[in-house]
Amino acid sequence: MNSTLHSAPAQTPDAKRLDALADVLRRAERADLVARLESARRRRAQRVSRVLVVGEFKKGKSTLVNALLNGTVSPVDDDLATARPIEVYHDERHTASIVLRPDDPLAKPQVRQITLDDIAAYALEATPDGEQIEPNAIAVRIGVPRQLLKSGLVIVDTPGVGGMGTAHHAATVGALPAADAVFFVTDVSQELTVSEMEFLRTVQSLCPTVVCVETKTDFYPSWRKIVELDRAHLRRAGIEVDVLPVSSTLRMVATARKDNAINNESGFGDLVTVLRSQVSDSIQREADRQLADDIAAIVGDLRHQLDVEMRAIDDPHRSEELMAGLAAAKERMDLLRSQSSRWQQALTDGNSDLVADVEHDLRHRIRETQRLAEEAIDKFDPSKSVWDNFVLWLCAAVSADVVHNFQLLQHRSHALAANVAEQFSAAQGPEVSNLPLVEAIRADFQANTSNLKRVDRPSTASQAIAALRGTSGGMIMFGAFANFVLDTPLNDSTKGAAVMLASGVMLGSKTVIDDRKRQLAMRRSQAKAMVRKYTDETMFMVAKESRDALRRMQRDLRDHFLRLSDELTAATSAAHQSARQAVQSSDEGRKQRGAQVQNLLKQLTLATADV
Amino acid sequence: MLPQPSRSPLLNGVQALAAQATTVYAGTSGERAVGDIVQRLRDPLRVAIAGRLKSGKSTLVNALIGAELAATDAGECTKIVTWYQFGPGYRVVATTSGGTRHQVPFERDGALRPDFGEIPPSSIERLTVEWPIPALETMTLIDTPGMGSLTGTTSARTIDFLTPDDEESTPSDAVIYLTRHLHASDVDFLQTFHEDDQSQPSPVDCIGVLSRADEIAVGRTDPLVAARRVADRYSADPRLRRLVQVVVPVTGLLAQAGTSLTEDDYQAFRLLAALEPAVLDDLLLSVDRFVTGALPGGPSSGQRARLLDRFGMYGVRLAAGIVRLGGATSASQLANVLVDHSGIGELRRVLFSQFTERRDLLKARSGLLALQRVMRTVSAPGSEDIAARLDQLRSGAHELAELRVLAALRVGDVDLRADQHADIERLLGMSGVAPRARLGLPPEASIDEIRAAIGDAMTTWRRRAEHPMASRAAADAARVVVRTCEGLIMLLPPG
Repeated sequence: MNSTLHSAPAQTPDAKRLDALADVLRRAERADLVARLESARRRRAQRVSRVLVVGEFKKGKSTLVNALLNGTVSPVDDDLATARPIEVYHDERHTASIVLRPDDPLAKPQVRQITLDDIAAYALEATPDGEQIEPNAIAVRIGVPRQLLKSGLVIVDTPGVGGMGTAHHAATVGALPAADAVFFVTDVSQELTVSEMEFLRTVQSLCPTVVCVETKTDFYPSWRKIVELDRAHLRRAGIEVDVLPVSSTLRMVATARKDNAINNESGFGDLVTVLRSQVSDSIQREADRQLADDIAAIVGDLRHQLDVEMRAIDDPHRSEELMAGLAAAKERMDLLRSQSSRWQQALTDGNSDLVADVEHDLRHRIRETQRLAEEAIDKFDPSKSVWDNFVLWLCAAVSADVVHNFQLLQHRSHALAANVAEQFSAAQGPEVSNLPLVEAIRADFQANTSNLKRVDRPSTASQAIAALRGTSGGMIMFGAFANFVLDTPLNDSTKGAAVMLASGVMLGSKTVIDDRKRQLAMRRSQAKAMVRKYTDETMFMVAKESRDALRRMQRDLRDHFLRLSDELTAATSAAHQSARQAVQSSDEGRKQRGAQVQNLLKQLTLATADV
Repeated sequence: MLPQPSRSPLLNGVQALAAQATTVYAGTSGERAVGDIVQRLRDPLRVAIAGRLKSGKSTLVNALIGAELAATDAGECTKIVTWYQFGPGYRVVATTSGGTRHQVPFERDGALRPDFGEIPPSSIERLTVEWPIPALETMTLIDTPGMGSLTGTTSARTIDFLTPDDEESTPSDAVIYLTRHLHASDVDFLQTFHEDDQSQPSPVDCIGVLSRADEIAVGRTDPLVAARRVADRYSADPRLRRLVQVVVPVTGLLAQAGTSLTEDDYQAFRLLAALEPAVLDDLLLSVDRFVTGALPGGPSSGQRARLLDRFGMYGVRLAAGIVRLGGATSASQLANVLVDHSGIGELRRVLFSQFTERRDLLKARSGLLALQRVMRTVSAPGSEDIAARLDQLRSGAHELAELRVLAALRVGDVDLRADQHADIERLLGMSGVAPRARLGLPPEASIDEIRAAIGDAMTTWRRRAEHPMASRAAADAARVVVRTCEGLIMLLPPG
């Protein structure tokens, strides 16, 4: 029953061949399969590989992006830093737009065109006395005609993380699950710091492909020594990432002079190779394989229907047995789709557990930080200049709590997706086992659960996780967290936890603590009240954002599995219906239909040959 | 010529008090501490150089001394607190925990390499380098090991950086804080100023330095212009204003290289400048290109590597460019241009007006704090009397009142209009304590002009002190200014 397609190596079938396949599906009167094919093709076309460029402030991230793309794409300033993530993708013309935060957390973010001249104003932080324009913008998108990006590569330049536990750091971590690869950027002016190492560890836990890029090798005489020291630090810490030393300056000179030798010296050749081989190609290969799998399943479903029908035509006397099997399968499929099915239960229950656990974890962490803060307040006079320092510490500590909480959310939601996938697979009985789709699911799942190193095809679970990554799971979380980086004054609570965390506005205003008249004890209790208000509101906002994120995740997972069960149901009922028709028709009709089916099978084989 | 203000009566008072304490504490556990204070009041001003790991502290020390004494390296380098002080001869003394002093032999290959012999380096608390060099006559420099990043993990970051409420006694009289280019919302930004146990930041005795200024905007616009912009922004940051008086951008490496530039260096730069422009441009493209390969007509590969090591990439590019454009026709000219570019001149000017001119006041202040600490921890017959006189001295000294107002201004406790802020800071001596500096007059201003300016200031601030709507803090500050003006008049010749 297994078609040759299943074991065929991944390869993108060309458009003409897929059009021919769609024709066959149409002639077989399977509109559902035509639609499935269309959406599979669309998914393939839209699959991008997103590379996040992250690192601390002023390490040359934007310059690296510009050098990589041979031109000024991401604005660079000597003092002002990048304040919003900048997504660079391929477009025939140079265009720019901003992504706006939607009012409804479940809605898609809106996009608005801007002029190229306005890019810097939106992307860079405001000058100290200037105002940040459009506080609702969560990212800037720039389309440029670049060969490197043509394969669907999207490069995202991010605001500097500015040390572990700052708001920028939290924003970047929030974006990691949406990334296919991460370039961690540092420079060779000194060894990796402890905070950079910590950050790399976090990145590694949330993203499959990480490369440590060390810039400015043209400027620092002892860069080789620094790179060696860093490799040793990483080895000792058990962080397995490649270290690539590069020079953006040399790369730009190489581009201007069209000089290959300088380009080789710049180290960008290696960087581009890594981008192509480890990121772009593998993502696209994975997407190709995904498309091939989808096609195999579609072809398999039609073939199954035709095979069943053929059997009914050839031997109508034994049809009762066949019909009973098909009816049972159909019933099971209906059950799979119903609200009371086990996987739906698992998803609903699992999600509410998850919401509760994540919230509990957050509460626990922030309470602990609050306790530490109050202990500290008892040791100093909150009216003194140390208050600023204290506020920075508190914001950093709370942001770190949020980051850890977010890691828990990510980890647990993947576990939930895997659990739902297991329930889903288990719910299918032996009757439908001959459906290629189901077979594939089971095989994958077994491969996955028995921890086999090589999985031929992405498992149901990993597909579900991929569905989360590709759609809302990552990017919207990114949007929510991107607000961390805006230094907007907190004028209304709808701005989200992010703003509050970033600026600590509630704490920063020293007019609140009047240090001239009051007693120390009163100042302390006032300071503690402010800390409590800050932590409580932050907790409230972050909890709301996690709930929204989990709601989106639940919806996406349910949609994913409902689509799967729809496909299974359609396939089962098509087989059932055509078998019944075959049994009920006259000898003459059967003979005629038999010829048709034979013909369709032949066409199908033709359409899928060499694919 | 104006008569110089005579030696500070405050310092005299503190010295008398310290002398009295010597008698009172003789034979008690406070004896050694008091002895240190007496010595300290006699010694030159002690200035600590503080800042994070790799912020360029040792390089700046060398630049300020004008000789390469402190060792500098790409990795973590300075591990022992090192005092550079004036001495009649060349001497290196290691003080181990417990206070024992050992004179140790040393070699000099570029920097100073002491040979500790049998003494385990971990037991050394302090290294004292005595060097007969004029720069150290007015100022003892204390080089500190870098604080931060590699020693503590951030997730376990504690709140230890919270400073104590009261002014604490510290080993140094004044501090130069070094910081690299950091983001204003960076936790490290302020943390940088709180990790040093040698000192606590206070706008009264701290100057900020934006170090490694040549590394900002690498390869784009003139880095020093960019550094100036960043430093100005830092100087205006209200959080930093509470900690340091001003932030000055400095390229320590350039200053260090400039001061130690030899005729050989100059000749090497001349050879470089004589190369074909295209050849030189290619050579200066990257550090690797600069040092590798034969260069017909140019300096040898080894020579180039040494230049790069001492001048840095920016310094090499700058020096070669200057020589090529005819901006320097001798070694000493080139040295001057480089030192000019480094920003060390501005730092020296700021150091002079803020530290050197006020050294008596700063020493008296740290002497008082140190005495106070002894009084608090050790009591001896007669110590109450000293404590009482100490309080008297503290509350009576107008110089200390000025410092208190300056600090309060920076913390934002005094509600004055922005334009009055600059005025009052200047009058109280924030940009120099000489009468003309306080009054914002040019150095050539005549005695009559000075007299007129004092009169104006006195009238204005007296009115502010008596204004019915003025807050108490503002009125107090205005009264201190009026007293400052009265003191200034006393300095003028009668007329």
